[in-house]
Amino acid sequence: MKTVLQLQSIEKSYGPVKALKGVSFKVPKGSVFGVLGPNGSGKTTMLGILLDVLKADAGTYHWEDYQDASAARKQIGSLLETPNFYHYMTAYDNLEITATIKERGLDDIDNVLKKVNLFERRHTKFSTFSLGMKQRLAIAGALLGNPDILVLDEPTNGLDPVGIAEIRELIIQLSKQGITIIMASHLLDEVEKVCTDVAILKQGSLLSAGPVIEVLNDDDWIEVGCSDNEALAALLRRHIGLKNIIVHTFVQVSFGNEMDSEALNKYCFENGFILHHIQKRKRSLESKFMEMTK
Amino acid sequence: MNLLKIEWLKLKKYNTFWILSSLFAGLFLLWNYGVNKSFISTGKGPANLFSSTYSFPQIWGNMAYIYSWFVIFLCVFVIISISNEFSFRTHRQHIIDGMERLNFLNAKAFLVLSIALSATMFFILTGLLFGFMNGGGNPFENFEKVGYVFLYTLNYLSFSAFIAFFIKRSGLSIMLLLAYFLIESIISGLINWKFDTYFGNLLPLQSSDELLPLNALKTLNNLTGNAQTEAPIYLLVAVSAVYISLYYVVLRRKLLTTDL
Repeated sequence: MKTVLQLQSIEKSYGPVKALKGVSFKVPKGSVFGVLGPNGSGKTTMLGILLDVLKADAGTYHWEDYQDASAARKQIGSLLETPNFYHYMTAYDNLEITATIKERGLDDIDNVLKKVNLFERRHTKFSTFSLGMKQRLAIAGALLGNPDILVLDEPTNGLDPVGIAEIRELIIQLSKQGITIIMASHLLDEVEKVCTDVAILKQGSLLSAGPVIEVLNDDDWIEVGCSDNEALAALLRRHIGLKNIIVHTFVQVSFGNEMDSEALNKYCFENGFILHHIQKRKRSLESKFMEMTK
Repeated sequence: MNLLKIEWLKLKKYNTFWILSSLFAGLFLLWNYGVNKSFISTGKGPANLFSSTYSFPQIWGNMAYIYSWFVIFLCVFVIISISNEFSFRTHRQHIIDGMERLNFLNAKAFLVLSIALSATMFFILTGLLFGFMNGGGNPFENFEKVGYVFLYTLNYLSFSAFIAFFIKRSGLSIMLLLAYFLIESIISGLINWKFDTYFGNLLPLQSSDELLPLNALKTLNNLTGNAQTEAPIYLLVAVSAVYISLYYVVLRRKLLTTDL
């Protein structure tokens, strides 16, 4: 599969704090690549290095198909941390500067403003915008000139639920057009809905990277309950095929593909446990994420 | 040219730019008019340090000294313009959008150069206006003062930009600039007095100050026997040019290596 971006052993420290500890991965062309991690895991630092606002202490990155990083950035639409615009200028004027720097997209300003529902406010000063509007303008700037690649750091930050849904739809639409999207986000359900690939960071280290379906893995969970869940959990822990177990209101177990609901129900009954609750659950990225990053 | 175009897009919508430019131009014109008509003076007769001689060739030197005080408006604007980039974090955004780091510095260098050239052109036009109003003469005599005006402006604006890139806050940068004026004057005077030399006049801003002296003060010092040894003009010009280059070199290194 063709790659648009390769990172090789990227390291970055802020004084004694090591923000990135030798991170390497590849971003496939046309993918929606999620970068996940708890606060302080190094996501924004990594994107900052890719966009040349931060200098890596070691390691390299390479945008395929581009002469150099500056040429690549002109073809990439980016949103990093906060929306950065001139407060005394209007939305249109700010995007005019962005387009002039990128040397493309001057005739696309009205179009991108319409995409983010800011067209009616295009002649309003940035200083009067709400947080959500500022975020929309930043997204509009990233979309100027139909970029081949989008790099988005928390794109739904500050948006209301309608706005979040709109951005999700926009990302899906752009992905269908073949645009590669690299997206850092805390909203795991949003990442789960749109991402094809994912990299998970924790304290500057890469825990896992690859297609969502592989990182997520195929494990199904079965949720069971009886009158004595603690005793039931103790029984299931002794099962040789058990992969994972979580005890809350019910007992959630994962056996991989070795045991289905019927077999589990039979096993519990044969060992004296009558289940009053049994339900199959698809493993969520959130539970996997929480487990990997704890 | 694209860099200048980008800077112009920012300037043309910025009220502060138009206000400070207008203040510089308007007040400079008015002040010169006042000095020329002698209703602005430091006293009568020999006590008036502002010469009202506005005919060629004396006008260039007399007006240049006045001009040196008004450059502060342009210095303040340069500081605000650069500090804004850090306050709004647009310096990061420019790089994210694809501008090379060195080009971000070059854009500001071109801005400073353009302002210096425009201010010098305005100085020339004002000089020609008052010069012809006050009788004839050869406007190109003593015209080297125009070159010193340009160098002076470029030095002061570059130094202001230098401060702004490091401090990143407009208020503090402006205060530091004003404080530095005083500090350098003190150090310069101290060196010259202590060592009976002119080397104190080779400090960053002083080297350009000496190119636009107050002629009446020099005459007064000569008359009273307080004349100081003067640095040769060529040395002042060379030193000013070296400082201007040094600001750029240091900023270049800073921008290319540090996190934004």
